[in-house]
Amino acid sequence: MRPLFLLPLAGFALLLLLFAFALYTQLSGSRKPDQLPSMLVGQMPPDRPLPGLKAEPPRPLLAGTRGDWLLVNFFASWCAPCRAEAPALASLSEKITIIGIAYKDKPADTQKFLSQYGNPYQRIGVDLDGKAGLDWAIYGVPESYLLAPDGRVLLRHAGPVDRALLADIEAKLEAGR
Amino acid sequence: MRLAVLVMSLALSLMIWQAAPLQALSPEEILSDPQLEERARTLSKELRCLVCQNQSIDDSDAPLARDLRLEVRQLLGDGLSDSDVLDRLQQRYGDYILLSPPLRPATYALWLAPLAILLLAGLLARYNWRQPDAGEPNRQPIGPDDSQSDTAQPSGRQPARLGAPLLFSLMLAGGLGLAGLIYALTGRPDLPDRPYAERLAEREQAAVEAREKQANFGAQLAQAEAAAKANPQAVTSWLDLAMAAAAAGDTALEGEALAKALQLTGPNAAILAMQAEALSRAADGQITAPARQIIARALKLEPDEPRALFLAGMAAWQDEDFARAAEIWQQVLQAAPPAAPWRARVRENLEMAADRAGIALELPEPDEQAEMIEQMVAGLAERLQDTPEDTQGWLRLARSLDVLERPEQVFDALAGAAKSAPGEIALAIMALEKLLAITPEPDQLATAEELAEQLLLQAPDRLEGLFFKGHILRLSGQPQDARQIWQDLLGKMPPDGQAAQLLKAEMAKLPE
Repeated sequence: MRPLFLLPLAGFALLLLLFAFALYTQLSGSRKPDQLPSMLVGQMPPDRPLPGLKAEPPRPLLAGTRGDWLLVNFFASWCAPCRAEAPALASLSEKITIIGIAYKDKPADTQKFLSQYGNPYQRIGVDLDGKAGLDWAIYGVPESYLLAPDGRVLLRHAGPVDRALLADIEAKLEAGR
Repeated sequence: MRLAVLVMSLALSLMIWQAAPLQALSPEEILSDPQLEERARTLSKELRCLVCQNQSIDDSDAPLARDLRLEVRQLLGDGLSDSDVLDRLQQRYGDYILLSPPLRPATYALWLAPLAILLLAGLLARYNWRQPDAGEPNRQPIGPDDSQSDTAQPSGRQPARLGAPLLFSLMLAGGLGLAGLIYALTGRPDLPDRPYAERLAEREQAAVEAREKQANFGAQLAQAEAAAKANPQAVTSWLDLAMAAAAAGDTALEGEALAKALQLTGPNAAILAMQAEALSRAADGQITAPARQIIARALKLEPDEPRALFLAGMAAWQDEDFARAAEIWQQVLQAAPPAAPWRARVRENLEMAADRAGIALELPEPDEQAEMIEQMVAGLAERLQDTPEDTQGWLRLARSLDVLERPEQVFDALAGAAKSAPGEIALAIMALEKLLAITPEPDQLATAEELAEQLLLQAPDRLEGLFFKGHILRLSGQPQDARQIWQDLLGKMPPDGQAAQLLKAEMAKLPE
């Protein structure tokens, strides 16, 4: 009788181990449980030509940026967390080039937003119909992507740029130098 | 109290019922092909809305779900199979987009866990059943316990009856106060409100307009397609078809029509440039490598072709060679006819490119520009006095004057065009139609009479000639003769038609 009694317990322990292993692999590194994994990590990002804020004709935003560390930031004037991340982006803009994509936002509103909260972007593309958002597979704004000098995506961060991400980016910059 | 709760819960459920969308799918998304739509619906049910995370995009009202539904429909419309569509989205969004994740090493735990749990439960149950059943010695009967007195209970409840409503009101007041405080600290009463009804109405309006526009484009496209098939040797009918296809967003058909036109004309810079434009439109405005090759070919044939030049400037802009873009666009502006409607757009682009390249532009001010147009028009008119056989020149002059809004001179130019090509009835009619918009001078009346006579001679069966002749007679102060001619015309028209009614009205205005 004794060994049979232990069998379910052993099974349960095995299951726990399995979960622990899955959790560990999911959480190790910079992965966060509230973030969906991005398929773009390690890949070359899409670069749909986008018009500018003053109705400039569309052009690819990433053209000619190879060799630089880049942060591509999806934002919108209608998004409250985008206001929250403005100071963090402003401080980050002193270290790396930030490219903004105004997601489903009227250019006039975007401009008002930028004049109120500051403009950390070197370039801004207008993604009025959200097509670029689909290309990058964003699932909310703000969303940021760190691009290495070889043009590949190093990490994706959903939600406002926070201190943890800043530290993460700085560590990556250090390691890259 | 109970009644109040009942009423409240009823009201609440009514509100929820009203707020719940009957269907997330909105009518303008639905594809016209019912089979494709059916496939799109089935696929939508398998795809997860990444915002709500536990709803399919078919159920979800989130904007992203809507975008994804449209994307699915677009991909299906492009001819992809169901599994290709799923693959495409999975590549972009990962396994998470699929509501039922695929079986692979990373998801073994997910798929096998229920089995494992079932197995464990089975083992456990088996083990328990094997225990010897020794009756129920410690069981207690269920039922009222008579041994305790029932006088203590009501007296214990009494204070609670008073306390509950009090507590409830206190909590309500506290909650409201807290909400008010939070709003006072973080609220933005200065922001304009956008009631849902208003936004909904706006969205519905946009949907209706989009559908009307689509239907309109569709009708025009069908018409142009029929015209091109009826008259496959005419370049213009293919070009019309290409334009209609472009307006309806059918780039494939546009490309075909342009290729047909190109077959008829041989190498032609203007059509090549249109081809390049169609290619780049299909690539979301990006001037792709094949488009660039076509542009180069067009410019080799005709170095000043405005559309090809414009696109070449665009290619330079996208390469971030702003100085080169500015240079090319300046060239476009110089080669452009003064009255071309797209001048303003080229000018805007040029200013942006120059701004980025850090070049100071010397562009004429709008006033100067008007003067320049004036001069160019005058020059063209003078040149046409020496070469009155240049029909295209006359037409160009007419277009420029039309932009300057000088109908009298437009009539003169159109008359010049009609006289330069006596066989073209359409030109004579165009000129005479312009006559209706002006108060003509005596020499213009004489010209018009000449054109009308010519028209009657060449096309006696066309009714316009008679009408214009009557109109000219009326303007020359011969209402009796005008009445006679129009009476004659009336006899040739269907008596109840709209044209006949209009003509009768005109005749009634003639002085006796």
